[in-house]
Amino acid sequence: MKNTNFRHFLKHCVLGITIFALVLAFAGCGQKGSVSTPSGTHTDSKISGTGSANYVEGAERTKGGEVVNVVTAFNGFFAPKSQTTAMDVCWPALETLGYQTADGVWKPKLAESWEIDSDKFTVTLHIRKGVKFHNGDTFDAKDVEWTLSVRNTYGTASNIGSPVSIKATDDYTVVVTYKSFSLDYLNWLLPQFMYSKDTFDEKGENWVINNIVGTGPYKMKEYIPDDHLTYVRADSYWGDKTAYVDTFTWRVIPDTTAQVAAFMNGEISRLSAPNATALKLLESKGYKGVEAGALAGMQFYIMPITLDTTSPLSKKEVRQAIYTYGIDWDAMASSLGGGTYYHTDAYGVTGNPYYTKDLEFTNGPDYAKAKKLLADAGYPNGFSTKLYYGTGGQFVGSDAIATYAQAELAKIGVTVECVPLDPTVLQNDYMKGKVAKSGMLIGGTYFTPLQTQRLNQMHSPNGTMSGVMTYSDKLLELFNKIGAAKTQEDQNKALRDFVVQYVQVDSNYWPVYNSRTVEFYQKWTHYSGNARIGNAGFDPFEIWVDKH
Amino acid sequence: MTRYLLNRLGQTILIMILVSFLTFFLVSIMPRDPVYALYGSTIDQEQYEIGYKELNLDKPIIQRYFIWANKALHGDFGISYKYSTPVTKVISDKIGVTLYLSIFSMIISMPIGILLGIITAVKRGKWQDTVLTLLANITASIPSFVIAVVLMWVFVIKLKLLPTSGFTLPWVDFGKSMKQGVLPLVCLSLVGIAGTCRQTRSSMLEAIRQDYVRTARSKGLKEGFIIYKHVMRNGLVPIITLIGGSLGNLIAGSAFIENVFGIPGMGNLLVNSVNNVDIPVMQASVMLTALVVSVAYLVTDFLYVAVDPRISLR
Repeated sequence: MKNTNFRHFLKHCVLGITIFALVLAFAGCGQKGSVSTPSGTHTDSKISGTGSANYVEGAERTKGGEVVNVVTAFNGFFAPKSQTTAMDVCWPALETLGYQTADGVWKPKLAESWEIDSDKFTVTLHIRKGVKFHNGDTFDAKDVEWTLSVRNTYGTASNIGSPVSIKATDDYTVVVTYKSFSLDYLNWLLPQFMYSKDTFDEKGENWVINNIVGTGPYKMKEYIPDDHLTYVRADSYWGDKTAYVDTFTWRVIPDTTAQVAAFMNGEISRLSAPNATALKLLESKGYKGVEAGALAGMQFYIMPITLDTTSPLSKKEVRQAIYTYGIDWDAMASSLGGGTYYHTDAYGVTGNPYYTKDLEFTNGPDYAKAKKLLADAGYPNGFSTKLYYGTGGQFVGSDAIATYAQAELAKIGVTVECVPLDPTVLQNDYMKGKVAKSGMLIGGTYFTPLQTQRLNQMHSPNGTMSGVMTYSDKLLELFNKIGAAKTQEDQNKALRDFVVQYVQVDSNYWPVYNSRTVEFYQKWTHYSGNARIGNAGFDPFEIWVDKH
Repeated sequence: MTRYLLNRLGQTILIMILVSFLTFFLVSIMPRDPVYALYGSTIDQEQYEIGYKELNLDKPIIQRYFIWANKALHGDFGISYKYSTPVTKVISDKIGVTLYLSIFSMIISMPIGILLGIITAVKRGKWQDTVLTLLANITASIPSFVIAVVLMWVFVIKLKLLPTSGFTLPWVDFGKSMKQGVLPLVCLSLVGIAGTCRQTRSSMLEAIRQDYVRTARSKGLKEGFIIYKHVMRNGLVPIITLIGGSLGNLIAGSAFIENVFGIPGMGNLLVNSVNNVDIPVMQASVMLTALVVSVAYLVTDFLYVAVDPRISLR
């Protein structure tokens, strides 16, 4: 009886599994069909095509259609106090005072011209006449004065160089005064998006943060937080050019796997590869990635915390042993990021004005030399230390770096304890030297054309990271030369000299790898400039889609 | 009855107070700085000090709790750090989406799950039971977000039949709503069907073994009548607990699915509020979830009485 039951049970199991397998097999047998995309512009098998930014010089640009972008979330506010969001998603509707071409030259936009008085430390901005906001209000000097002042009073003054005064001297002139000379006056002021003071006064902050009133070729049609943002062409645009695309949409897809699926399904027009796996997958499907400019990358780095002068890391030889010879950086970059990561020995990313190949000097690790340096420094048997890293936000991926570095440093006798931290704790407490007095930490910085600003904000003797280390006299001397430079050429040279001392000689900082931003376009979407222009997002006049 | 109701309401209020304090306390000891969450991490020290006082962080936690509780009792849960709008507005914008998804998936999953559970119980040991139980076990063991990714791969990338994400209410655009809603609803419903099927099967089998069923059979009653009249009525009582639990999951139960399919609902809001240290939203969302769970179990208790006269509220 029991045997019969068991046979029945087995029979049913086999039957069930067979049916389940058949169901799965049936579901997996894909057949290509048509898809109705949200934009309604394309309906055939895009996946088999080779999507790319297939821009051909002189190709006919068609008017109409929709470009659908994707974001993980809308961060920050649509307000002057947060221009990061503006750079990411508001560039069709908001405009900057100027824009920067790929060769670094600033061209007029809402500011028609400007003058710099290097003796009085002033920048005089001449504002373009005849510009109107989407609601019909006139754009003039008071809007510029107000937008810049909001930044200045909001605690984010360093983003515009911390001017001592911003004053509209007449309806179309604004004078910005600094306390010292800098070559970055224009880099600070011209990429700022301009907002309407009257709208802010009339509607209030709560309205402004959810509604965009700009001067750009597109106006906001609809914004549903956490869902989508849509712009349509503004017929009343002040300029003489007409943008090609009818509609720009940003869709929120928090999950990166879903983002890739949406791109492969033709639902979105443009996608920044969210990770190396996605990059490889898209490339394997025939899509061609386009690097989004040399300056759009992010650099991960490891910094020593040298506040405790008795700790091993306070000795330069120890830092050199670890950074210069103790870790195979190229292998780490390749192992962790495949084609998306690359290692440099310089602060910043390749393509920076001060970057030269001379900065690349390591030829793989030399563990014997590292051990000798450690022994010379008084640590023949190595030592123990901690490596702090963030577990999310901009620090995603730091855990892999920490584990890799831990394994590498074990080879030279350095025992590393990896300590995961909340990103804001790492950023606000550890990176500012409030907690740990020795050890190492992993950070990440986005690099932009404003290299001196980034340096000042993060790694100068007054910057955020200065809290974790002591500076040598030589380093301070080199740093002061950057600020004293009167020409761009001198500044670039001073930056290079500082970087060599900071990174390679003193080993106060070591780049782990740079991550490239690789973008994919559907074959029907075209953008004539692959690099972002300055800090002003994309140029809405240089994007178009094929006939639809 | 009135006494029981008052007693339960008192318990619910006590639970809400405890949850509110625990939430407030736990959020306060989170290793995240709300000042940076509100103003960004690039602000200078002066602005930081202003923000610190503005958020009452210079006051003891108990005092902060009472300030918050006093406002919350008046319906003011504060302003969202991320959206810069009142929390009540943020939540009211999202809750409809989540309720639509949760209730719709319950409407799908409960009857199907109960029906399949009855079939498996009645056909115990037969091939129908084997197949359905196996499928239910497999489905219940796989996390919903894994099912989501698999379904997305099959129906979006391979078959190219449906969009990956988005949400539209049916009265705005019915066709679009159906297309966007199919995958999230299937994911949510599959898990619900599997759970309900398994629970129904075991409850039904328990009832089938009872003496009164044997007696009914010995009296020569028809099997269908026995199942309907005696087994189902008794076997389905535990299902009410399941339904109560599902009601409790109305708010936060679809968080993973909302995240994968980019649906702007409460689950997504809750996850985002944690990621963005949006403390006012976090606290209000947890309070709302606690309230819904408490009410759901209260309703469950009443349903028990309605279904089974042997159970008394006294």
